[in-house]
Amino acid sequence: MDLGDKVSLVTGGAGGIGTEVCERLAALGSFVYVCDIKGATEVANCINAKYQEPRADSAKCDISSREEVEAMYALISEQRDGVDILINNAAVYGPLKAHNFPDISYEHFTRTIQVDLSGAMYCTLLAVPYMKQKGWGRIIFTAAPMSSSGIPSPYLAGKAGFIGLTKYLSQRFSQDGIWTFALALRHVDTPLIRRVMESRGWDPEEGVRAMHEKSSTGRMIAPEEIADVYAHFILASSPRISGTVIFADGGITYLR
Amino acid sequence: MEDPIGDYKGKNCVVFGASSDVGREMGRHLSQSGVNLCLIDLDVYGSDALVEEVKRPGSGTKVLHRLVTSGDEDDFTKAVDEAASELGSIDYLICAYYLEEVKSREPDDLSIDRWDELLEEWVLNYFLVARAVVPHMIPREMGRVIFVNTTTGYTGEGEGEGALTGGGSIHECACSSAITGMMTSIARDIIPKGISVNGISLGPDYENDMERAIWATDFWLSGLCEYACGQVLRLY
Repeated sequence: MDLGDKVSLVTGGAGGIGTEVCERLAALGSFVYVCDIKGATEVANCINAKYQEPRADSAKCDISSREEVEAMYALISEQRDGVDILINNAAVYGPLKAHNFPDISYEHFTRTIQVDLSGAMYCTLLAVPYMKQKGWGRIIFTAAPMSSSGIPSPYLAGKAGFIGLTKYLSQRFSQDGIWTFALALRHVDTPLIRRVMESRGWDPEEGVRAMHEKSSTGRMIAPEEIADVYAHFILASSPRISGTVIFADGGITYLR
Repeated sequence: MEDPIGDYKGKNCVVFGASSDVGREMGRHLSQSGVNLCLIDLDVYGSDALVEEVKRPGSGTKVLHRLVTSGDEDDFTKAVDEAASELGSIDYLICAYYLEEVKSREPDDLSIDRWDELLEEWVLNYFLVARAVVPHMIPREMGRVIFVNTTTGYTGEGEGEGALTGGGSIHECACSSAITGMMTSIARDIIPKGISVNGISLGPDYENDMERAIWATDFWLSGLCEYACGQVLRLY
């Protein structure tokens, strides 16, 4: 199966994991909307340069804004009917310093959860009716384990919220051909994780090396490996896997 | 060992969502057990008759009631600061959102308006009340916090094979799992300060089985759970 007739929307498409996912979906034939606040055009151009025909477009959007998300969907509907594959991947970590409770400001909390959880909710609620009408859809969440350590509460609240979303959507809509899936990630080697280390005064290279060693597999997860898993799920033929939440964390959650 | 189960003499507790089914039952139980209370309600749900309902006649326990506006940081801070001043200290915080209101909504509701409303009223207000209360616990290096949500955060809305709960909306499911994530992160941040945070996830029949919710509350507030933190009792 290829995805030649499918339209994908990848939020956070200009980030470490998001870019890999956009490239993978385009390689499978899907037309990809690269959604991000900045950098989306560069990613779309980079993808298009590899193919004879356009396979990507930028969708500049702050997904924390309901109005911007609605406008983005209206544009996609006009250009390509709707979204078949939704990758809810965008996230902000919040201020990199002073993120421990109760020192987190309300503004920090609301801003983070608005992007990380509400943004995904807006995109999902607007995607479902079209997917239901077509009888086919895939919704994937880049989540995090509910019990992750050292992660600020608004970020973890948003990411953990995806677990309930995944379960609900699967139970409610899998019979309509809409399958959902969440990958609860930790220890993925992205630019964000290096920025977090720098903000805490750590040498990023030293920090990354320590995280490689801390993982039970002996190394962090690469973004392209996440893209592999997403592609595998999208191409899967059995609805029985819908609603699955997989911990991709190098065994940290259950083995330590 | 610090306070075994049910020994509440001289303790003070803030109950957020005090007019809810769960909040009222927990408040009544704690008042009858000798706990002084500050009952905090959202102004859209609160009732002044609550104090008389909760207070045990002749018990001598204090019962305060404060109304706050959803999402109003200053309102929450003021209500909690007044409670700490009038009660002398705060030992416990119970966050018990109005689940009967959640359950009264249509499970198939996919509206964005409802999401914006529930996220603020439930998740963001839990954050606000906890952030207002915890600074009063830190100097004494002692405190217990309980976040109440529903099992739909783990199981989805519950129809179909393997269903356990039933009836939840997409909004409820997402809020419930978000609260668990928020709770575990907060727990990790403040357990070094002597404050434990745990959760109670209620199943669909919780109204008919309030005894278990009360039991779970007693358990999390007891000295037996001095070292338990960031965990959830799921009451299916």
